[in-house]
Amino acid sequence: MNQATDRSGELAGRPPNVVGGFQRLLLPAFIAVAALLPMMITSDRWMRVLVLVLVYVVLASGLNLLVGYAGLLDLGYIAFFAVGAYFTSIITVKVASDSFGLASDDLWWLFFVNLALAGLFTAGIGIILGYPTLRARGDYLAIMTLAFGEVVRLVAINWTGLTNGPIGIRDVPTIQIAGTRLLDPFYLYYVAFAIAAVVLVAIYRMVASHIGRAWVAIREDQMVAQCMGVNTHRYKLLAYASGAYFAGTIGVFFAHTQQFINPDSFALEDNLLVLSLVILGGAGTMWGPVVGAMVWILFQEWASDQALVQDYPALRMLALGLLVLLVIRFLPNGIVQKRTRLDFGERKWGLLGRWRSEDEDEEVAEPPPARIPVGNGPILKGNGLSCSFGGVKALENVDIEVHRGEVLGIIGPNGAGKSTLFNLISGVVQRDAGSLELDGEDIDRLPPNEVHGRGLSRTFQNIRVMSHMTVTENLLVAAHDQVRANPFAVVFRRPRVRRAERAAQAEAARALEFVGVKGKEDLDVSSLSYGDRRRTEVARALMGNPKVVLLDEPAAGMNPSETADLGRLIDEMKETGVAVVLIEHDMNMLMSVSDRVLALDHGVKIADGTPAEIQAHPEVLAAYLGVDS
Amino acid sequence: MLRVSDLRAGYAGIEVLKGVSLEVGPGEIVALIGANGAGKTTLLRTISGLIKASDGRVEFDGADATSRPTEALARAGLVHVPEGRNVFPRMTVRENLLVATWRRGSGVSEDLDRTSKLFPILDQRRNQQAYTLSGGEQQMLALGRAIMRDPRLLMLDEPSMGLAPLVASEVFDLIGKLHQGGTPVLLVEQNAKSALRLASRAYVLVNGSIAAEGSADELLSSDMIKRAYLGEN
Amino acid sequence: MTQYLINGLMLGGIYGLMAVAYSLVYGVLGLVNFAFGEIFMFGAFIALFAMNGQIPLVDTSIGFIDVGFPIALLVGVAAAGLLGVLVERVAYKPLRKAPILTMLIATIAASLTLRSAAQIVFGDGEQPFPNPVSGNGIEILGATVQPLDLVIMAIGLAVMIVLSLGIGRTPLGRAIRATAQDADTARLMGISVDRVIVWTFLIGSALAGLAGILYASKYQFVDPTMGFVPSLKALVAAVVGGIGNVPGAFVGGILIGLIEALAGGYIPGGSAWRDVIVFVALGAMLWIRPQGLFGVRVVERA
Repeated sequence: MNQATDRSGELAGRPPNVVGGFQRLLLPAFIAVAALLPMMITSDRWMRVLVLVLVYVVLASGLNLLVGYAGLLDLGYIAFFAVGAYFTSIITVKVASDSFGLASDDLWWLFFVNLALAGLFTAGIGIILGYPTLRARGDYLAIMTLAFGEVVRLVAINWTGLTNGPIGIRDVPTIQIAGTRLLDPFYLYYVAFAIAAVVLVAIYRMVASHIGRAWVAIREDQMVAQCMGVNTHRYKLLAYASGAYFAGTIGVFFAHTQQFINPDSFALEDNLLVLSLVILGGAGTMWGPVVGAMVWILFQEWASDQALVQDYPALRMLALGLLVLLVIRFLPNGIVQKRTRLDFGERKWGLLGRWRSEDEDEEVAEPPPARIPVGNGPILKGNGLSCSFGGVKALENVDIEVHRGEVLGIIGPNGAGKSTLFNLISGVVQRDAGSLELDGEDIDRLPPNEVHGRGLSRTFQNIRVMSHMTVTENLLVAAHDQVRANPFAVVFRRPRVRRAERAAQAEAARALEFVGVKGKEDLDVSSLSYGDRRRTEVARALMGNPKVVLLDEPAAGMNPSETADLGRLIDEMKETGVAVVLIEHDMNMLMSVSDRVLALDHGVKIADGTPAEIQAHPEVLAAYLGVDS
Repeated sequence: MLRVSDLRAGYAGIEVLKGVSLEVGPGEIVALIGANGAGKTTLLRTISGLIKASDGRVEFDGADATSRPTEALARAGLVHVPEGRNVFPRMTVRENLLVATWRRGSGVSEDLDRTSKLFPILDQRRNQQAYTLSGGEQQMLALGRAIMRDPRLLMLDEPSMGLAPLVASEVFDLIGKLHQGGTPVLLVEQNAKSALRLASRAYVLVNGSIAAEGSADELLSSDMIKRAYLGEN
Repeated sequence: MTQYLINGLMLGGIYGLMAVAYSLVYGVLGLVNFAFGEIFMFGAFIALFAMNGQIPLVDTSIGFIDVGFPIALLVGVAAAGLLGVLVERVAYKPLRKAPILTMLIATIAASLTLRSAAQIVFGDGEQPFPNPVSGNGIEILGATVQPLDLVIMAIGLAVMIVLSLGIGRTPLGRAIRATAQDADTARLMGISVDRVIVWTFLIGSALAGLAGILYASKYQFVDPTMGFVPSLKALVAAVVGGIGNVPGAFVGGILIGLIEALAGGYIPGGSAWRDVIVFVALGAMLWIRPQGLFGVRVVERA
């Protein structure tokens, strides 16, 4: 679209959650209250309400992974809840009882098996439903997920052989442990509590790791995420799989407590409800969905006691709709203002953090080995590069060569094709013709995240750092390749994962020191000065010890002294052996820092030589100043 | 006619314009040259209101125009032809011309005639969709569209960008003709020589500030522009 | 077979009108307005009340208001148009500078709010809607065509013709198209983009309201939740036709209507599965040709 506004994919922004003294007590206190609360509640009805709260806490937290963290507006999420519920009901009732004639009392253990399996099955469904949406934009994605959610519901209604259609499945056995039926809501609460606790810990572990960072990066700026090494398709599917997993799991619980499910239990409005809880509480935070679920369910229960609501039950949904509209207008971040850190940061307290003290005995992480370029030739070599957009030839037959430890400047008037060249080299755009080699390896068909993995990184004309992440988190996104691991290793915080994370953090600290950003590691990037943001972006480009760094107009908007600092920084980068390709309009800076300069005009290379040669080159002068007629 | 005083503006956290002052008098044609990145486009967009100024003042035709909405300024006669021409691609040439007559009073058909005479190619292609036109034709369409807005002052952003030299010089000729019709023009160009040949006065913008101003001839013969564009040796 | 075709065309006309509404708003704002389903419903209800001379929440019937269908139609359409503009001014306009996801959520919340309000004010549950066109079916090519069907198709066609002419030839139509193609340049040419947005919502909402009234006439009922499924299909139609492209959207609507009718007719146990078919068609289209049949490929800003 063409609005002149900031349209990145984020929903909200906030300062990072700094765990201070007061807040350290909050989590254990909360857990204690949640654990002891049932002892104080005497009414069955309110006990059931608390169970419902826990169910919605899990649902909202799962949806939050998709909507809040990854920025995928999934309007069909309840379908996953339904899949889990139907999974267990079908297996327990239709298969075990009806087909095999097994008595439900003998099958009490099936609940636990299903609890484990349903999540995986639902995750699979999540991947299937999520796959077609991978290339879709925000609104298309919402429509598709809405449609897919409907499809699941329609299948539930119509595939009567499997699901009993609109009648639903009855007599789903209650949860039993070794013969004792857990009919009392009191015990159900603790089962739900256990499930919710495990889910929240798993979510926390996923979020505060490279996975969470990848998701937020996808939400904030998908293209840049790819250029920093994130395989966006894979992580979007992971978001679907994870969200589906948790919804399916709690769906099992739901089926066995309701003991009866039918398609009406999973209506469209439930999608909107869960979404509203996430928005209300605060999308993209850990506690937001929890708070949202608590506030709403408790309010709703209270409201249903009021006479007016009993006459007009739709008043509750009306209130919810209005509340969401007000919240997104006046409190766009939701109720919970603080988000969780996306890294393993300092944790000195309690239950979730004990691993830290174990690690303090380990050695300080070694810096990753320097990438020793192979071979003697140029480190980056492009031949005959051409590409066109919509009939316009943006680049035609351009040759480019950069050597280790060299700075190549690229100049040219507006529209000459300089940024296109960068986009081509970094893999954002595919070339029509020509070859591209990095350190002797072909990179011309690789997607941006793999180009990054081979040792080429870049900055962008409009400083594309992720505004709602801290400085450190931004850098850690670029370390994605090094800390990557499968989700289970992440959830269980295996030693390998912890080591990689700490190594990446150490590297980030070093990179920040190199560029001169001090003391701001934990601040949101949006609060930094322009110069610091630019330096952060350069530091991010240095993560992973790249062989080649592309700098796109790094001095734009800087004053003379900042520009001079930048020039010095580029010199220092050179000394570490990195090759730098620089697009810049500040000619003084570019000419003084470059070893060689390449001039483009109208997509074609018009000159190539030392700065002095270029400054006197007649074609270059003509390109900029016009021709003497 | 147009007076800009100490204008500061920027976007995405950068201050691009660092206190720019310039003037265009009635009947003048004034050039604003400078390398890209200097802020020329930002300046025009701030004057026409697409970007909000953070400080400073814009006066048009004696009245304060600093925070007037873009469309109101356009209707009052301050017409900005943007960089890249930005014709409406899926509307015909004729529709592009007519679109600019939104809430205009009289004189539409006279100006339509005037444009057909000035740009005979456009007349030929009047029912073609604008995206099928060549770069040069699109530039002419953009100029024609500006005329249909009944301009009291024209601001042209890099009209020669992306055009082959011959076409570019045709465009400059046309701009000259427009100006002779009495409309003052603020011509922003990277192509310094052509702009200076057309203009009577000029300003040089470097890194968001005016580095030099004077008559076009003075600037043409000085070394100053070369240094401004390609840096010191 | 002909019967299905006739049904499909008629249904398609209704979807087409709504799809055009989605396309118009999407073209100008880049936004899918999920609340159109409720505006569809609202139009139908207002028309019903006009015909019955009722005012909701008040138990009396105002006897002297006993308008015929044509007037009720106009009243309903006008009311829908105004409601759409109201929602835009109150709920969407303040969010124009917010990220697009936020605006999408606002449309969803607005949809929920309007639906709930209708459940309260208009009463939950179905109410009958009279068939305004009496008369027997006519035999055409072996199918029975109800006069109502003909009326619906005629209205749909007429509206589309008027709309196409309007968008193609009037200053407002040009302004809308210009704004959809390049809002900033439209401003530079003196167009008040805000005003264009209001007009777009007015026209789009009126179309949605009209679709709702025609739908209610055909199926002879209204209920506060009636908007969801038809609006989703209309959205599918808009996407299939190329969202942002007005005539394409209408064609998409006809196509979806035909698919639905034919699927309902030919697939065994069909009418239950026809909705699924429609959504699968959506998935297929978005996968093969994301810009829809007639849409223009939007280059993702790198």
